[in-house]
Amino acid sequence: MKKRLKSITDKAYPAIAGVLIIIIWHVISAAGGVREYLLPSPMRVLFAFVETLPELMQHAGTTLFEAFVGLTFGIMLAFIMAVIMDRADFFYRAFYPVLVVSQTIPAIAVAPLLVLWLGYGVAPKIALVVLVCFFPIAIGMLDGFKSIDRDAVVLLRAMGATSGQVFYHIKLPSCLGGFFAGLKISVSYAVVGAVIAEWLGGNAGLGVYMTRVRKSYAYDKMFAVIIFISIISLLLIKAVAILEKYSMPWKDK
Amino acid sequence: MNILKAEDISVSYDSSLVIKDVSLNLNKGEVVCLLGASGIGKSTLFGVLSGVHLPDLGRVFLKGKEITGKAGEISYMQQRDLLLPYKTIMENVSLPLIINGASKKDAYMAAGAYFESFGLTGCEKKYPNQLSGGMRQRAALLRTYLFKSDIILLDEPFSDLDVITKHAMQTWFLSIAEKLGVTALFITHDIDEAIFLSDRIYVMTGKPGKIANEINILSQKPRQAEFAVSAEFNAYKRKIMDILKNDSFFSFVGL
Ligand SMILES: Nc1ncnc2c1ncn2[C@@H]1O[C@H](COP(=O)(O)OP(=O)(O)OP(=O)(O)O)[C@@H](O)[C@H]1O
Ligand SMILES: [Mg+2]
Repeated sequence: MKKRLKSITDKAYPAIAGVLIIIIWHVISAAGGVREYLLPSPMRVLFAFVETLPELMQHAGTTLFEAFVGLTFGIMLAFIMAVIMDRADFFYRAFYPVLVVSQTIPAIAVAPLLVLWLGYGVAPKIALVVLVCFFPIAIGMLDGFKSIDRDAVVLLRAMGATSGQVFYHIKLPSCLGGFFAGLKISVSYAVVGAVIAEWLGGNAGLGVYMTRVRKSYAYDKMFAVIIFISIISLLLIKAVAILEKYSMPWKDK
Repeated sequence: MNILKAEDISVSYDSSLVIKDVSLNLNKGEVVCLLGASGIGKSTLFGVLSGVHLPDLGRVFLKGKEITGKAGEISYMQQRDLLLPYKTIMENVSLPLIINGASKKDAYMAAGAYFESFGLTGCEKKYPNQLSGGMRQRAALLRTYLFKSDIILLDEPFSDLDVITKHAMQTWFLSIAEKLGVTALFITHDIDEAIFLSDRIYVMTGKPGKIANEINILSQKPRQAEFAVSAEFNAYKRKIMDILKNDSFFSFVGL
């Protein structure tokens, strides 16, 4: 009972804060302190959102495709990197710092280069998504690998397990927690990464659409896209959370 | 019949000798105890017997065949129960069979047959964190037994349990050992537990650890709770305490 009450209040506070922000936003734009076209009122954004929803959905298809393909490759790359770094200490020592430093390079800075190399199709978009989302997953998995119970490995070895069996029965399940922690970050990175890459050119996708409405000074629509993108990210994060719960039934029991 | 035999085992860590010239043997159907103070090298010796640790000197034989440094020959239950938190009790317990190449179905069938004797009925689909300490320990024991049933090594199997549960587990262990005819070598630093469960006790003392004495507990099995308060029991206890009192391992206490 107490727990349920707590989960209600946990959700109530951010909801109140959200409503408060929208009210302040409304008051500012109603008072006329900022020009209407620069900061459209919440109502206008809502209208723009409903009006452009079919268009948004269409563009979202392209963006989500890029995000998913990129994420899939990103996961594969992360898995391979994590396994290699876990197996070979040399690789760990040599590449871990390089990877960490590489993360300080902003994605927006790399995007033009990718377009230069890969053209205006989906390739540079997917490449950028892979680059931004493999790191959190690789780090999450690696942490999982490094946190395994040494005694459990000894136990399995005493049972005559091969290193493949040790990997399957101990390492893999131990890295699931880290994997999902990374994936939660990566799904939203993937969407944002795809959008950023689309800013630089292309003929479909939410990023492309964003540049179009920006050029026509339709800032209410601009706000609508931004909100749409965060809704997508939130839904994806939720989906990952559900997947996590399903894949790790031993948690919270 | 002698089934496990260790000859003059010596082990050192970082060039300091931990155990020196330890020899022991185990006959079929016996429950034997290795008793000694904390840090004397009991777990180290088990590591050698189970083949996961190579000794500096000495050899281990299983039914006359040398198995020194060869893992996978003897069942070994470590000091912590080491049930894998992400596997159900059924998955945990049948793990040794699966690792040995059995199909999931066969492994579950074989393991399922023992759930009742091990007091685990109804726990098949539960996760280790849903079980009590005693149940976890029995699950770990079953997993150990299912790996190799002819001889099992138990490293302080009951040490983490409260006194009441511990006593129930000891009585249960004696009955199941009898029923299944297991040969077991177990570690403890609890003198009462050693006397209550064992047919024979090896007492380890010194630094480096050596076998100081071997004591036969002649009392009849099955043993009842009364045995633990009998004069005979106390006589054994006195004898062991005398041996431990002269232990140079405790020279720091100034006894
Ligand atoms: N991997 C290791 N590296 C270095 N020293 C070790 C290692 N494992 C154990 N030792 C040392 O060897 C000695 C014996 O350890 P061991 O774990 O065998 O003792 P034990 O008799 O099982 O003790 P306890 O009853 O507390 O479990 C201890 O002094 C310990 O510090
Ligand atoms: Mg020990």
